[in-house]
Amino acid sequence: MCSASHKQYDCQIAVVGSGAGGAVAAAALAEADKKVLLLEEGKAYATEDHGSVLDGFVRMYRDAGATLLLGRPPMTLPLGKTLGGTTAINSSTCFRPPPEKVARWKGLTYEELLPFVEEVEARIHSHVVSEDLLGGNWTVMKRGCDALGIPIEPLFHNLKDCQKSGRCQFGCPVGAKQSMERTYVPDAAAQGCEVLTQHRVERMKLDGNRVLSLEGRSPHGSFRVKAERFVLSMGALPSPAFLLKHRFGRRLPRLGKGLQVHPATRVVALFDEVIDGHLGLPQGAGIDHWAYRGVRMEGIFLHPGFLYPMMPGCGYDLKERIAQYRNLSAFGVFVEDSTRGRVLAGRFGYPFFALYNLCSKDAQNLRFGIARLTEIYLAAGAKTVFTGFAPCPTVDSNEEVERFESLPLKPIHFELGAFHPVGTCPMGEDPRESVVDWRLKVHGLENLYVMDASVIPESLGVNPQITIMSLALRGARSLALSH
Amino acid sequence: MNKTSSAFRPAEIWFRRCMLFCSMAFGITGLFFLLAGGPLPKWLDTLGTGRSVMVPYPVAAAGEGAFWRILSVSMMAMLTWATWILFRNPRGNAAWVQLILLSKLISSSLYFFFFVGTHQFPHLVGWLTDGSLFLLILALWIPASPGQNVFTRKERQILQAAGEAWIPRGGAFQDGYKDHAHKCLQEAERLVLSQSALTQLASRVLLRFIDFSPLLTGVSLRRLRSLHLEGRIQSLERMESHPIHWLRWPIFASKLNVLLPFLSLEEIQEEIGYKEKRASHV
Repeated sequence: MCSASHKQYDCQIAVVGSGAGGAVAAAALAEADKKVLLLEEGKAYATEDHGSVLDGFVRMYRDAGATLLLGRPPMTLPLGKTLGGTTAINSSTCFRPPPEKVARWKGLTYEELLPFVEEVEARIHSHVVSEDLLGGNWTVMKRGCDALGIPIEPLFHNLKDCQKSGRCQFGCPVGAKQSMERTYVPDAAAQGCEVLTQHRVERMKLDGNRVLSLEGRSPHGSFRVKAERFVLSMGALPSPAFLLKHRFGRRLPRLGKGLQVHPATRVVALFDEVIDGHLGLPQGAGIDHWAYRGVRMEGIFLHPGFLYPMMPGCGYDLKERIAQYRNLSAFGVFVEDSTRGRVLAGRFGYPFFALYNLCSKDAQNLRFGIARLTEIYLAAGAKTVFTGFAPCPTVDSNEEVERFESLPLKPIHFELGAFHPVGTCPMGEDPRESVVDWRLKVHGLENLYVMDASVIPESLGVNPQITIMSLALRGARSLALSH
Repeated sequence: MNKTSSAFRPAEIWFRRCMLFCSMAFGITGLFFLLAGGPLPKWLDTLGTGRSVMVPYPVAAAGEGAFWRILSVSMMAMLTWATWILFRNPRGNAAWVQLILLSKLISSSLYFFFFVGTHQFPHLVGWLTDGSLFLLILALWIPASPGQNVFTRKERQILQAAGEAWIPRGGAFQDGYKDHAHKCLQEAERLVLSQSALTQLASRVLLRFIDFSPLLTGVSLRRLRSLHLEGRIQSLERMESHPIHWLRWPIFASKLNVLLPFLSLEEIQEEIGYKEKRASHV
């Protein structure tokens, strides 16, 4: 029901969400001379307002980082709620979409996607970072990998003039990260797109197969957006939940199902020498030696406030470990999952619920990855390695690695995080097997599109931001041509 | 006393609505008991006679009904008044919630036991009515209870007790959680305040849960916040290495609320070499 207090916006195309999908779509549509409105639920923060790590966490993360995948084990899944979406709080790691994955998507070829990938990479300044940015975390990992003959490489990042602040995940304090609020959102605004922050879209009005308007709330009251076309770019969890809330589940049976993430954990190692892992790019390097079995490793060094809660210890023992912060190194391991989860419509003011029970194959791969990282750390000279695996939380010799791998394994033995959700509104031709078509239009609706991570049909095995941006760019160009 | 509804948080607004409803319902029921309450068990008995398992309710002896009616009307009057003042000001009269909850818990439990013993339909009705009311009031009170704060006083005590156990004074460096408790608790509240209402509720429930960690781990029969430091450390250590995942997990969630604010303090960051080194490089 609409009241007189509605503020109304009229435009040709309304884009909801300013993350990797929405910002790129808005910029491409505005560039094609469309009258575009970009709506973002979170606030915009200038570089100089980023404040402390705690400030960044409280302000820029959805639910202050407590977004959960409910299941065995429950996992936190960090999502951004700020201008730029999750790109503002990610580790800035860039990977091209894996060609073998794109080949399986049938309605799209890698060659067709490649020009969009290259365009995106150029705009966000994706490049291999130099070794001098990588810090002590890289030095010890390189030493361990060299000893075991395992290749380790610096990763691609969307950075410009990085000053090694070491806090990419909490808002770059020097504006080096070329996330959406520093690239595509300003591009969209420069082309005449109106950008509204703190505007939360809550409802959609429909007339048959046509969306008439979006309604929501801002700090100034309720609002309504009327447009000819609507693009949902809320993210892989909120977008399907929003559609499920509007009862699209019956006509699109695949909606919200098939959620895939990268279940991940971190391995922390204690050295006698000073590492100073916080003085480098947190996710600077990666190991893809075991990518063939779906196991990938990437650096992940964190502020002590995030590193220690996941490490065992209490009282004076914990204080001793905290005092050794400069002697720690940390590396992450994630798996390309076989598990399928599910997104449900939100209740009680919560925008979505997600269910995900880690399967035993993924748990085995995680343990395999932890074991290999532990061996690398021991080869590099680590005194003790913290595994994050409850039955064997610390390892300090190769014999113990063998014991670690022989222990009974259950998914609940891990304390995990989840990253890179995809697959909840997958692309495809058949409405029974997919939610959007290859041009990212929702099946059975005339003017509703989804352009975010949810359209990626399966887990990529790599960080997905370039893939999301490329698909959104392709979808938006196609929409601009057809409109 | 005369707060407008805009001065209340959404959870308090829902609780006040419930209290207004209860106040009206208790008032009307009290009047009904006074004027026509005598034959009520008989009417309920009639409804229940169709069910084969039900046993007829015994007829009260002459004059006995009036005695119980007086008691029930006076109880209803008290509940009407208590729920009314809670509607007016839930923050200022929070102690009365415990009275109402206690009353409903006792009555629903007794109704249940009497029903199990006698299979009389009026006891089943009483159990279902008072049991539902107990659960409803409890469910609405938990999110409303901190008033304008994030945590209740008890929850702040639990967080501080856990904080002092995780980061005691002395050891590898001098400062402990106790030395910065005020600032750390403020920051923990800011952290939880930025969560959704449902997650805030979960964070508070987890805190309450770890208060029972000494009991759950067999360290002591006392709760965490009333235990000495060594006992608290032992209890939290056992919890976080517990083989049962659902006992371990609340510890990690609450540990973040303690360690993140503490390790974000400037002086602590300098102490452990995070801040100083950053400054020299950037």
